[in-house]
This record gives sequence, C-alpha cells and structure tokens, in this order.
Amino acid sequence: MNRFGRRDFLKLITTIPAGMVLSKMLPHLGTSNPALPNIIVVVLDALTARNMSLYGYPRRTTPHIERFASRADVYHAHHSAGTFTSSGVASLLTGTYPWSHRVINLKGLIARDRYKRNIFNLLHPLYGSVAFTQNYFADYLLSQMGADIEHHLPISSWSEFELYAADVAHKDRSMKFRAYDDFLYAMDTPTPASLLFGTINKHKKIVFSQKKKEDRLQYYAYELFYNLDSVFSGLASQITDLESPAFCYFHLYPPHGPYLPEGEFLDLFQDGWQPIEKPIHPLPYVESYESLNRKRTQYDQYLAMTDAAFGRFLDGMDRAGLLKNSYLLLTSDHGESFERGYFEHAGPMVYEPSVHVPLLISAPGQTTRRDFYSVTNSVDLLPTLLKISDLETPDWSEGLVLPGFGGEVDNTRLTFSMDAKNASAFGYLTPITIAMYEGNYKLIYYQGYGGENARYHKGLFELYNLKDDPEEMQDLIDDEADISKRLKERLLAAYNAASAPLNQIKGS
Amino acid sequence: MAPEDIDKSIRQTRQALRWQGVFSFYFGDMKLKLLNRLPGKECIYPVYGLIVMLTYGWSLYHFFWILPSWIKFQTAEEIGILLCYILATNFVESLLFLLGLLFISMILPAKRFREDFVWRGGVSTLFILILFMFISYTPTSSNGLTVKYGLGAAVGLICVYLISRKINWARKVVGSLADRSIVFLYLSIPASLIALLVVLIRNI
Repeated sequence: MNRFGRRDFLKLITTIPAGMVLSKMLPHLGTSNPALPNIIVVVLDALTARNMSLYGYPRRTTPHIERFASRADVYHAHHSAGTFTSSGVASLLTGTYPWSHRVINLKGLIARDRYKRNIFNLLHPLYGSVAFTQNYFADYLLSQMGADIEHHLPISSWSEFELYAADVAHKDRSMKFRAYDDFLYAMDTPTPASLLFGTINKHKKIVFSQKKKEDRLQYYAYELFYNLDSVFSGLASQITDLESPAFCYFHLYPPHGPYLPEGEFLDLFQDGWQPIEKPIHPLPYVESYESLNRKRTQYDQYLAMTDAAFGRFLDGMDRAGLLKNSYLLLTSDHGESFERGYFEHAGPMVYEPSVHVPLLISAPGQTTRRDFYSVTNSVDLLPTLLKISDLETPDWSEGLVLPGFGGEVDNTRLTFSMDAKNASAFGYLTPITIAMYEGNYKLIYYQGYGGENARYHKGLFELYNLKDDPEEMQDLIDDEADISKRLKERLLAAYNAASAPLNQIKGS
Repeated sequence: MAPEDIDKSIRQTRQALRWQGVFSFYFGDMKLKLLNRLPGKECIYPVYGLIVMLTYGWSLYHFFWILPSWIKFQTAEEIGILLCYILATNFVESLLFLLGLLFISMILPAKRFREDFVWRGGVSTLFILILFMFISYTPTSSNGLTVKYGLGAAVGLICVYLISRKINWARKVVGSLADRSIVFLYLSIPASLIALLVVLIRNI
C-alpha cells in the first residue's frame, strides 16, 4: 500500500498528455519575486481529524499523511469555522468567521461588499494564483473572487462533468449556474423546475451516471465523475509547470460522500472495532448507532484510499523537488459526524467530529516534525500566509498568525465554529449553533431552534473540557459555574456584536 | 459600355431569372403549401396558452417554493435576474413545444390533426406535459427515460384520442380550458421578452 508501484507509475504516465494540454492553457505565472516560495494549499473535503490515525484514531487510516507529518508542522486543535463547504471555504479564504462573511447558507455567497477581502486579492501583488475545486459550491465562491484569481481551473479538469459551472469561460457564469444547474435542471429540488428541458436533462444525467458508475469512477451528485489518481496526478503535473512564486488552492472532493473505496481498501477495517456510544442529540434527524458505524467504516476505507492517493501526489512533488521551494498545506473545509444519531455534516451540531479538522504545514525544505497543541482556526490561514509573504494582515481579518510562523500561544484567545444555515444572511443570525474555544474549554451555544425543542430556542449552553474529555461526554455547565459564567459572557458579547442584520454592520 | 459587356450583362440577367424561376417553381409553392397546412391563429393561441400555463406554471410553482430559501442569501436584484433566466427558458421551451405540434399538423393529413387543432393539440399538450410532470418525479436511481416510456406515452396518447373522441364533454372541457388559458399569454409574452432582453444584455 505504501509503495509507488509499476501500476501507479503507469497511471501517472497516462495523465501526462492531459497535463501537457492544460499546462499550455496556463501561461507561466507571475515572476515578480522568484525568491518567494510557492504556497500550495490542498483541501480534502469533509476530512475530520477525528478519523485520522495521525490524530490518534485507532484505525490506521492515514499512514501517508503521517509520513508527510514527519516533515511538517502538525496542528492538533485546529477547527473549521463552518460545518459545511461554502461556510468553511469562505472562512479559509477570507480569514473571517461566517458571521462576518455571511456564507451561512448551504449555497450562500460572501456579502457583496466584502468579497474582495480574500487571500487571492491580498497575495496578488506577489504571487500568481491557481484555483481548482471539485466541489461546485466552493467553485461558486471562487467565481465570486474570479477577478483576483489568475487561473481558475474548471471543475471538469481531469474529470467528466456536465454543468454550466464546468466552463469557467461562460459569461454570467454564477447566475447561469444558479438558474440552470441549481434550479431549472436541478436533480434534487425536488424535481427539475423546467418541465421540458429539465426533465429530459434529468434522465440524460441518470443514464450518463449509470454508465459512468459502471466504469468504477468516483462520482458526486450525478454530474462529476473522476479517477482520484488522475486528478492528483494532473495537479502534480500542473505544479511542476509553475514558475515561482505561485499560490495554489486545490480543493479535492474525497473523502466526502458518497464513500467509494475500491480494491484493496474494501477489505480494510473489518476489525469489529466500535466507538463509544454517545447519547442521541434531539436536534438532528436520527440514524441508529449500527448504521452510523457501517458508514464510519466505509468512510475510513475511503479515507485510507484518499490518503494513499495523497501519498503518491506527495512523492511526485518530492521527486520533482517542489517541496524544496514550496509551502505545502493540508487541511479540510469541515469535518464529518458519525455519532449522536447524526450522519455527515451541515447539521446543527458543532461537536468535534464536525469541526475538528487537520492542519499540516510543510515549509520549504523542512525535514523535521513540530507539534502544536494550542487552539487554532481556519481563519488563521490568511494571516499566516500573509506573514509568510511578508505582507501585513488587514484589520478586518479575525484570524491570528499560527504558532510556528511568528504567532504566539495564547490560551485566553477565543476561536469559533458555527452553523447558522437556516438563518438569513442579511438578517439576525438565528437559529444558530456556536462552539467557542478558550484553552481546553469548549462552550457550545444553541439559539433560535423551533419545533419541539423549546430549550434550544431560548438559548442553551454546554461546556466541555477537551483535554480531560475529548469525546465531549461530560457537560460541565453546572459543575464549573464560574468558568461557565465567564465564557457565556464572552460568547454572548461576541455573538451580539456580530449577529445583527448585515446592513447594520455593513463594511465593518 | 462595350457591346461584349452588354451581352455578358444580358446573359447574367437571363441566368438569374432562370434560377429565380426554378426556385419559385420548387420552393415558392412549397412555402405556400406549408403555410396553408398550418392551423389558423385563432386555433394556435389557445393551444399555446395551454402550453404556457403548464410550462410557466411548473417553473413558477418551483420558484415560489424555493423563494423563501433564496431570499436568505440572495439580493432582490439577483433573484430578479434568476427570474429572467427562468422566464426566458420557459419561453424557448414553450415555443419549441408549440413548433413540435405545428410540425405534426403539417406532416399529418389535415383530418388527423390540423382541422381539429384546438382539440387535438390541446389533448396532446395536456397529456404530454402532465406525463412529463410524473416523469420528473422519477427517482434518480431508476433507469431514466427509456424507450419503454416513449412507447408507452405514444400508445397512451392514441388511446386518449380514440376514447375521448366519443366523449363530447371532454372536448368542451379541453376547448374551454384552452380558450381561457389565452389570458396567460398577455402576461407571459411581454414578461418573457423583457427577460430575454435582460439575458441577452448580460451575455453580450
């Protein structure tokens, strides 16, 4: 599993023509300061740190990422600011929390007066930029930042894709994507909104997807079909062709569901291991413990397969000497839940599996591992990347430079993860769930939820000590009254300042 | 002008007239014949009204269903632009469907379709578009729109014709529904033209 074999080599060879074609599409990137290293950010979608052996998971799901960790800075308490792609990616690229950029809805957009506040824009004077994502909600956000991205690669790169969003050259692409892909021809809302074209298109896609599934490609939502190795190899050839300095944002779909492990990975983790059973949470829809465990095993298998592909990508980068002049970051936009009756992500819960994500940063030529245990957040990436580039962090950024890059460990610092997908991006942020971290403590706040759970409407708090209780089983809200009171005040002060309607905090 | 140039000019003129004659002989007559095979405007409007009612109605039903979600993260201007795309698409699909019916009326014997266009066109519209509504709910795990569906629809449509020919009240219902649905054209056509304009401007 660890070796780069003959078959892998052959797979890599097959992608060279595609890489050559694409490299011709990409003129050489900016060379304003060749002394600066490249910055390559790899985002694996829905990768929870809680299922990675790197972070102590009992199944060996990530041996290759561990190999990468041996020459990187590893952040052990890193959290995504959002619980789903749009929200998480927006925080990662803007250095602000969802309550500021307002991508709080599943298909949301950055507040129209703030989308210029992004990492591509800030690095533009020094770096050429390449952006690629397989997730079309992330791609929708990238379109919003389009003017600041030098080369926005289409989702269909090294894949097969049938959407308007597939062609980045379309005029009025964002609106067409919303009108056609997401409404008139949508597969899931609950029927296509165009009676004639939409229905015909739906059946065309069904037939297409069945054919592609027979080809054993990874897929998503009847539209995106790809071979993971081809995508990674394509990216490797892409990077090889870059001229320093370049900022690359590469966002790959796995291990996001549907989980599609193949070959040797299908036999992994048939070990009968079962995680501790946690109480069912009243807010999300409920899946049984057994069902969640089955899905967890599939996720673990798919994660191991993704990890192996990442390992080959890493080896390719190493052989090409790219790690000598590049920062390589590996992280995720959000986590994945298999507990408390809740499956997947984007639910109203912000327990650790949903928001605890990996962060590994390898500096150019780094050969040793460093570990950091203080709490960090995806909003910290922007200030850190700016620091690497000797640029000032703008005052609107809510992140701090990471420890190891000039940032200091501050155990009184507050960081947040949140979910407010049913609130209006323009109005008061309610209903909302917020997790606030301070040192070892994590305070969770639920507010505005209706239905039968009245106590989640008025405002409900939970408090955990993650050092003593990493599984979040012991609610300390009553036992640690002083700490609870202080943290509640801090959380409510932050929430009240940021949750007002957008026009009242415009441009802040 | 030299005499040889005058001769050349006369030859070219004769040649052009000859080709014009040939064109007129074949295509001029055909154009006239084809136009004669179209049903009258008074028959086309009610059928188009039915098509508009179903296609636009379907999209607008979905639009108002999703609007509470859209207003949470899209501005009024963006929603207005989306509505333009929706109306422009509805306009194109409704016209294509009407053209399909007109094409059938041209190729079938007059007695089979054209002479009773409101009734036959109306029944075809109702049958096919309502069938599409059912099909659009097909689970994504199914085998898609197969030949089986198409054959079933064709056989079903013929059965509907045969059975309903004998039922007078059915003719009346379809006729009066089609007549009343003309009212939708007064709103949909101007709105669609504005929408088309917006879409064109945004894509130029």
